[in-house]
Amino acid sequence: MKEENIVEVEDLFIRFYRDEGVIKPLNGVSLSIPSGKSVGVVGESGCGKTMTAYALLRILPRGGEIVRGALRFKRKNGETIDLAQLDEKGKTIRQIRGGEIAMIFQEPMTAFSPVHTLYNQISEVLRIHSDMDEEAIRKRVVDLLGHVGIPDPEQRADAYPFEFSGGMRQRAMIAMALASNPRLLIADEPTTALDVTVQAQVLRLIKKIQKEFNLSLMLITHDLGVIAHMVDYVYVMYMGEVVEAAPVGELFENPKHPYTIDLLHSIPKMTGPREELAHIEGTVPHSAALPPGCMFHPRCRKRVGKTCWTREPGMTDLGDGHYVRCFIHSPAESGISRESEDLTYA
Amino acid sequence: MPELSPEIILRVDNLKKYFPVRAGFFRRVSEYIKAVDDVSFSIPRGKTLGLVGESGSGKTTVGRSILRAIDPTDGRILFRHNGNVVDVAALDRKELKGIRHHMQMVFQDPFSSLNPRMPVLDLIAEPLRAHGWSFKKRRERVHELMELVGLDPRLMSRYPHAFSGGQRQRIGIARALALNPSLIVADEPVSALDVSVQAQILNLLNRLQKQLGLTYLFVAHDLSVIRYICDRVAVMYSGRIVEVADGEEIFQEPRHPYSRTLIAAAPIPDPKANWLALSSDAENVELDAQGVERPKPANGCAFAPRCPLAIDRCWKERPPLDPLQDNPTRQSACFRADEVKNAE
Repeated sequence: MKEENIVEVEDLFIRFYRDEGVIKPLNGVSLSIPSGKSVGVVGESGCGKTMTAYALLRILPRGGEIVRGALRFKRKNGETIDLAQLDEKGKTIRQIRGGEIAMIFQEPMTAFSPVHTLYNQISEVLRIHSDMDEEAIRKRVVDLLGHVGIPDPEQRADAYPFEFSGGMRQRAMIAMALASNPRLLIADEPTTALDVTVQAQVLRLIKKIQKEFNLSLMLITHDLGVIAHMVDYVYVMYMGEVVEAAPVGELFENPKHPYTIDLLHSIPKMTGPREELAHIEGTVPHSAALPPGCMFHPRCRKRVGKTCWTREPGMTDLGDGHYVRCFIHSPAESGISRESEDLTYA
Repeated sequence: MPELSPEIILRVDNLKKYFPVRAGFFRRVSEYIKAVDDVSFSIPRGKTLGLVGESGSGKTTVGRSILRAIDPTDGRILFRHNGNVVDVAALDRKELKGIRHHMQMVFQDPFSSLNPRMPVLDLIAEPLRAHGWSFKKRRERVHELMELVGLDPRLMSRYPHAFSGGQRQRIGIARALALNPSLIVADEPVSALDVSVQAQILNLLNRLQKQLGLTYLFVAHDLSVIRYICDRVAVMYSGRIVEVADGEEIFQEPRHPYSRTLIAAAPIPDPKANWLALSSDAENVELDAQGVERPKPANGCAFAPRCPLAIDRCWKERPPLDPLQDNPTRQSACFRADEVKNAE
């Protein structure tokens, strides 16, 4: 594992063996998060971005299995462990989950328990992950709530989640995530359910706390507008693969993968001339039936011919941290024949 | 017959919808939630009016009132069809049926707005059946409609689960078009879709408008979508329209503090743009976080608690939606509309 990284995901495959067939949400995802930096994972629904986060916390939905790959994580004590090897219900992962790695979910209404007060729910984190006494816990929870911008935290701590607006609830969720002093914060579409003005406030808060607490941040979103301002480095995912990875400025200025290019062109703009929007033909295929060759070829405007549907492109290093998975940027011989990679019966 | 200038297809006058709040022992009406409070606007034939606002601003209630999916509390909804002008708000059930096929709705969520037990043929043909079309004619019309919205007509016997979100929204659009309406109320038609599919649906709506001469009332929260598809934009806040302007103007130079906040808060997909100075530690007046939680004045401007320009008058008196002095085609409900553009 590289010195500067806190997380390295390598060649991760996830399978769900269902009656109707094998669902293949992740097909060889590799990504790394440098310590103290923010990394964005962007893609359309079903591309596997949330599944990657769930794999890290080992909270995959029932039936999901990690069939290959490593999830290396550097712990507080400096030890590096492979989360993929841990027992899902074991002691170690329970220390890490919610302790060293915290997660903010999209829908703060469903992520909180409706029948417990905020204090009840946030203090639970501290009871599990710290050895503070009740008085210290109370003080810490109130401090945290104040810190994330909840007015009157002493009183509001004893309120129930439904008594809060969506934005305030998301702030409370951030306070809960911070309670255990995590090293890595995973934010999964943290502002998608919020109004734009509230979204901007919550994003500002996430940026602020990341700096203050020196957190490593993994931000998962479908919104390229949010990604542009929140992270240092971006992974673009499509059908359970990373198709392009680059520093944020480079990705927006100089996108290389046809999918990234079309995605950027399909966002309506707030300024400039109103041109006809580009759109990507068709839809994302079902993850039980992966297309042969390059996953994107059925929708790609730039496909070069037989190579694209017989061989799978590997990641090409374009220099300066820019990587792309496309035959336009690499010779056909570099591709991998899918046969050897087929994990259907693994 | 109510008067309506010839190019206007829909005019809404002083529309109000109050929902009663029942509380206490006898479930007595204790107060009203004014979801829509005195909203007026008009749409010329073949044009698109965008209603934009955040959740709870009343934009959906306006759309549903126009179709009489809910009954408005007060106001007139003048609608032109076949050369006649009717007040939709005053029609009874029977008369409504005669008018309904001229105005149709496209819903937000293509997953819950289509009955999962009906094949596409029946889904699209349902309005036709309600109007007494024979099976053969229905089938022909569905074939034609599916081609029109870019669906393969061979799939007409399949069920909604076999279709992706974008395809389902196409089914929803085909169904709305079945009876050749002149007005379509589209309520957040793309907000449940992925961005690449969203672009497909927006381009489809644009093409259909040109091809069929449709008039749209387009309800959405996403400003960039509104900008792409609308000729004119009305910004709603707390049940009222606070600003109306032609498409581009409002984005270039908002003249209500709320429109300005809304535009400033929309994230721009460009890392070089210093969006809201997100990385700086300075507080941002546009984003006064506590303002949202403060109570609104009963008789003043609802935006006053969040407004960086608010003066005493705003708390005591409600600013009317008036044409701007320097540009009468635009309206703004703000006492300080002239200062909005310059204020920082």
